[in-house]
Amino acid sequence: MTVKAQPSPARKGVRLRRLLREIWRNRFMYLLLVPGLLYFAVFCYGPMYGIQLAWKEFAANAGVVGSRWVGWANFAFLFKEAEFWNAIRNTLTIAGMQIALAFPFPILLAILFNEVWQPGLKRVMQIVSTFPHFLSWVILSSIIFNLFGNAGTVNNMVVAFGGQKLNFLMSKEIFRWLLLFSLIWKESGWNTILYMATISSIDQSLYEAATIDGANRFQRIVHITWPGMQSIVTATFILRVGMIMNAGYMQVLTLYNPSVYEVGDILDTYIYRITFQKAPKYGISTAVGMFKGVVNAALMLSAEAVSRRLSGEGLL
Amino acid sequence: MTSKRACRLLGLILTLSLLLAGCQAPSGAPESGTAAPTAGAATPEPNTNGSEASADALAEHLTLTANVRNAEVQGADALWDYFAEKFNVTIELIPMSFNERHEKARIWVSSGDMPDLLWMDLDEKMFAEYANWVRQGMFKAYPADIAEKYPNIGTEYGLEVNVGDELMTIDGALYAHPAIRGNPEYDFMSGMSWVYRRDWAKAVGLYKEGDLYTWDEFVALNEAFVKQDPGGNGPGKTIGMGTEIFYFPHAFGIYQTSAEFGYGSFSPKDGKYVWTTARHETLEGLKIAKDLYDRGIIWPDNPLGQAPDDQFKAGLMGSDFNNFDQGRLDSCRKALQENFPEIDPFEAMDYAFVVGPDGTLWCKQSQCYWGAVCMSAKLSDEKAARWLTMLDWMLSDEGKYFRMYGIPGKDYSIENGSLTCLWPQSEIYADLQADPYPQNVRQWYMDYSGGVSAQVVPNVSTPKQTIADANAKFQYLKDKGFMRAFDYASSYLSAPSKDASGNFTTETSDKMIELLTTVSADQLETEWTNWLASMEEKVQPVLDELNSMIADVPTEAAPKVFVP
Amino acid sequence: MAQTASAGRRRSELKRLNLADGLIVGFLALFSLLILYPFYNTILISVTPQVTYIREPFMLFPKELTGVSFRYVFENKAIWTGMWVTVRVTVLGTLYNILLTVMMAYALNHDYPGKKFFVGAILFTMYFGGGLIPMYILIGDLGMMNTLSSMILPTGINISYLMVMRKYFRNIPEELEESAKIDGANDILIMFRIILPLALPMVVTFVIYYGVERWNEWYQGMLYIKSASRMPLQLILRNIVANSNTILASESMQEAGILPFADGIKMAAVIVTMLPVMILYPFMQKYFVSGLTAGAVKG
Repeated sequence: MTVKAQPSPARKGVRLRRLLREIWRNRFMYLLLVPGLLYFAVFCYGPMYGIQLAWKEFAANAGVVGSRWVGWANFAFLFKEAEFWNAIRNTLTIAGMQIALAFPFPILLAILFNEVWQPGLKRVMQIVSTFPHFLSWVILSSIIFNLFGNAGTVNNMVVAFGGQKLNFLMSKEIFRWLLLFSLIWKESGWNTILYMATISSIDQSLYEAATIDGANRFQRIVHITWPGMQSIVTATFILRVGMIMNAGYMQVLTLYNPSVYEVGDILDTYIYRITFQKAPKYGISTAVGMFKGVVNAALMLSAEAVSRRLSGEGLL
Repeated sequence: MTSKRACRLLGLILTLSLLLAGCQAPSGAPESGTAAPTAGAATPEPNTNGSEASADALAEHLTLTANVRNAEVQGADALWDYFAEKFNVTIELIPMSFNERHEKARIWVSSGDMPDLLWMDLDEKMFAEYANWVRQGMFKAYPADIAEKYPNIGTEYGLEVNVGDELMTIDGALYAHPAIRGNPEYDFMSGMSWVYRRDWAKAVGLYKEGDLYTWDEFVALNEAFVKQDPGGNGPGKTIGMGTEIFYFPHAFGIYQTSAEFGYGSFSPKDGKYVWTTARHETLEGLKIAKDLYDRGIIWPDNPLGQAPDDQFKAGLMGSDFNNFDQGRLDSCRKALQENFPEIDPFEAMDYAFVVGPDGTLWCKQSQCYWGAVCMSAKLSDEKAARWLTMLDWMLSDEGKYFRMYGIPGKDYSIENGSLTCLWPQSEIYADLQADPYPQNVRQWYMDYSGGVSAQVVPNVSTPKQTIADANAKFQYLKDKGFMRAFDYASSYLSAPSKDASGNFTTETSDKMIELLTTVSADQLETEWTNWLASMEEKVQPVLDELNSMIADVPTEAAPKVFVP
Repeated sequence: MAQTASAGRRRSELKRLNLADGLIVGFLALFSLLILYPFYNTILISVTPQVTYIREPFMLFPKELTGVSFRYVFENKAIWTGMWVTVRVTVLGTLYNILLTVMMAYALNHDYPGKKFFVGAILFTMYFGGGLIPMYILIGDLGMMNTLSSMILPTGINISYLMVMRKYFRNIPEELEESAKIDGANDILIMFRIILPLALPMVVTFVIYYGVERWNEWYQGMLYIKSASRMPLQLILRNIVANSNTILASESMQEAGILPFADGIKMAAVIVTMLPVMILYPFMQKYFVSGLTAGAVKG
């Protein structure tokens, strides 16, 4: 109050009153927020003190708070490991391929489903496309091994047509594509559900009017379907980019093998291997988590900024 | 209209959830109170007589928590009731799956929420963590006079081949009871060995008397399997040699030539420890494996980590290198019999003794125990004493009969000093009996107290021929083979660099698999040497620790040439 | 109504079904086939004996059929207790998820003091967390260890879903809310009576997403559950898969000398766990088509 630049008490009082009035006017909004905020406070911020482990060496008897500070040693350990950088490179490459190809595929699928004139056929095909989501990667990996192994169906066909057997699963050139296509196969149908829901909210009379105006199928997609989906697609795209450090932990873990570590080892599997094959260091895994979080957040915010500039629309 | 429907849907969901919440409440409440009333309980008299615990010591009903695999099939059977009544105890089993055994132990200990009795797969990789936890005061020490107070535990700890209790002793006290393996009579020899299709060997005309093969003969045999397809599987389907991923590619020439497996990662040479991976024998072995892989004699999909036994059982594989104790041999033979009724599995499949490329026949010693039990630091003396009483009894003869057969008078009887199993007649084999209890129902007893030697309690549910074959293999290897003793000193040393980098076994086999499958034969040596050089920075500090901290490095055993 | 409008459009087109229609249906049919075949194979594995499967992993028609795998699954009591646990966790958990998500998404779509701070604080948790040990200790401190609530409460809101939901609310015209306000309705009433019915396709979508995540959940059960009778279905299945080398026959099968086979049991278990979801899904699907009145939502 002694600082000169501060507004006079009277004006402050007015602002405070205005603020209180604003809060009271929105009281039901705050009420709606309470359960969610409670959840975040208890289950997300409650354990948040664990973040300090990134700069500590954990000791069971001392607990998180009592453990010894080690400065930046955990980060320093990571940054000098060649495997860590290899894992980062792979994570970015694989996630990049996913964003470029696996991300748009369900959108395309949804648009195509929407173009099927026969409602029964459309429903059945859509349901079928969600089936693989229910197969866990553990189960799926054995199916993939049977398909693409040296004695697998695909190789048998290759041989039958006079070709040379290919070691699909142990080839550094092929492995990432295998990851990508198995992901598209497994999750596209499932992700289509969201886009189908979005399309179903588009005003159907728009289509009718466009048809009467003589718009062809392609024009309808471009001028009606796509604009109707755009804001949701933007949101999911920004969210996916903001998860760039995640490239499919369980998928890689179940499908890879030492022959393709060089191209397939991602951050999460790297952590899995360094923590479960040696004495685990909670400090190091927390440090990796921090690192991932910072990169992800930075990319999310950049994607948000780019999107705002391009389309005037973002996630936040 | 739509809002009405939404409301109806919401109403339905709410009713349903209330209903389900109602179901949840009662099942959540009663079991949570685990602590038995201890008010006014006097400290029990120390029982002087081991297994014959005095009635006084067992007077109070106690509840203990303990983690175990396959918990869902245990805790509700006649054996469990018998045991609980005998020791006036309730053991609450905390489920834990095998895959998460390390993770769960770590979480429990780190968050101060460990069960009263914590079973751990406490191998040399976990040992540094164990020693750490002991020093941090997380565990309760076993009594110093355990061997005198509990005679059966004492007998087990007194065995010359059992060094488990010494290993687990930290700063003068024992904090973990190691559950020893069931074959001390064979010096804990590992079951790792080849089994092969003898009928196929005869069909391709390369069978050798006594199933004894030189390396070249065995390779030629497997090549013939792949090329001639004696099982009639069709072109490209028959597999020569395969192994469990854990042994890949060591099984194909490395195990037989270098000192790799027995000594762990580090082996003595000229009075000093060296990194076994960097020895020239390892490279020689790797070259052999590479040659076999390129020639298609090794199962091409082996590096993907699928079970070789399944291929063997399906009649697709000629030779399988695995931990073939009598149980595994039995299961393979049973499956062969079921899948191919026309063949006699006892004739068609057997162990093969394969002499290495350098003329030596190796076998390997395992660690003397598998798994160990720690007591929570918070465990009361009464509860600790009760656990030790139970353990001591489980290690007695009576306890061993109980663990293998079941309840006296019901599942077995002893007349004139001879033991008879009373299990019902098997429906598959005329001269065998069938275990009336569901499988895995004995997991807790076995994991917590160890194996039982078949010489003490005969196995009545496995065909006699299989038991005889398995024992004959152990005996032959013990007499004729060259046993690599397990080197506890280097494996269990806990030192800063070694604890941080581990023992490099995973890095080694990962690299071997990569080179085997992705580079050409003439690049192999260069790539291998480059990799060794790149690893030196990490390996050397560990070697320095080993050589400075281990007083007497064992003398290197000169491989002895095999004489049939 | 949307359906009539769309049907009208389609009808007028039927006479000019062209090449593009053929191509689209052809492409989708091919995609469905690519999905169906491995799936069909899964079913076959669950009904064939091991030797048939190992020798011919990809078959068109099984040479030999067996009910052993399904028998194992149905005779396994743990699977049924696990299923009951999972049903409860799924219903209660999904309800908890969707209520929390919808309420928060709706509230975050409006402006009032402190909103920006809340959004920032929420997004922060998407990228940073305290880790395993503090979470485990928290569950213990809250007295939730070894209860169903430990599998329900800790995963309340998926932030991605929250943000998409919020985005969707943003597309609903504000006039609807304003006119309701003039009629004297409060925000909560408006959300449940006016906005939610309009957002039904999206709500149903997230009910499906949350529900299936709940149905497949095992990790929290692995961490916090300490008695076998409260283990969720997927955890039991995982244990079966992990133990597949020592796969066990139930008592009656042992007596009959039947050897079950791990892959078959896995596949049979997958099919059994999928069935409830596959039966429910088509009922949910209709909300995508009929949920909306024409013109309610701007494009």
